[in-house]
Amino acid sequence: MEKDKIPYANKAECMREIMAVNFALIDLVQYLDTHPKDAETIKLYNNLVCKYRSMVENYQNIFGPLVIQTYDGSEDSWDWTDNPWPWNKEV
Amino acid sequence: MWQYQKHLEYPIKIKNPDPRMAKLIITQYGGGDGELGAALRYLSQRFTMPTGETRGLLTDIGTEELAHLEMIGTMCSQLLDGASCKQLKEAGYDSNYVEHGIGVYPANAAGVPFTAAYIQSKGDPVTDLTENIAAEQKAKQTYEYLLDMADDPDVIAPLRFLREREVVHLQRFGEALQKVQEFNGRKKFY
Repeated sequence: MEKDKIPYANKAECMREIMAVNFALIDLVQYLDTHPKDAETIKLYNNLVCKYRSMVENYQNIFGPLVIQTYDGSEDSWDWTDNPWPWNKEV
Repeated sequence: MWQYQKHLEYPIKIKNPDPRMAKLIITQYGGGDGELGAALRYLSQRFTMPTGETRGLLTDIGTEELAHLEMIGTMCSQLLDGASCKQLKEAGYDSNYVEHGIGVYPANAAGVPFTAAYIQSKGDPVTDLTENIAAEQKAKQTYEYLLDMADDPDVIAPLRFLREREVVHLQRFGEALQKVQEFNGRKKFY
């Protein structure tokens, strides 16, 4: 939870990497729904889930919540309502 | 139930306002082949899907369509953000403006409000999956037409992404339909 332990150069780059892995997961979930016995892809999926989980945790520790139900970092003020929101140009 | 992720599925940052394009793209928000219809179609149909695979697939694709709805809303909102009244008038957006300002409202490109009559939930998996294959093909075609009308790379990139997702969903629904037909055949055989 130390705010100075920043593993990425900047917020936008960090966000972009999360979006890329998140998208891979979306696509793989749907593929596996119709190919449930594809063990190789299941392995890839499981690895990406681990990666995704740690990326989101890192991001949330530094920049604030992405999934509020997995975030316990708010202290004196409620971080969830901080700007920007995803549709804002300044994201 | 659902959990919200505070980010888009694909990055969108449109620098230049373009109300003409917003007026067209809104059809994928609330038009007949749009993302709202897609989400409601799949999330409603899943209650009568016969297998775990098809229930899962409709849940997962329906959920992704909600993320696409958010992307389309974002595109329209950013295309209107910062447009002057003169620009709105010149783009023919004035008729939308007097109804909704620069708000995002589910309607098609001609301003006709969204209706559930755009979708079907027939209670039969073969019928519903066949509808979904057609729906994905129609949504893909709408994205092709929108791309014909677009010239800003900031607009083209997310439209291309969304078009490609329709192709993937088409593929998945085709696989699901084949599996359901095999499942039905098995039931009859034994």
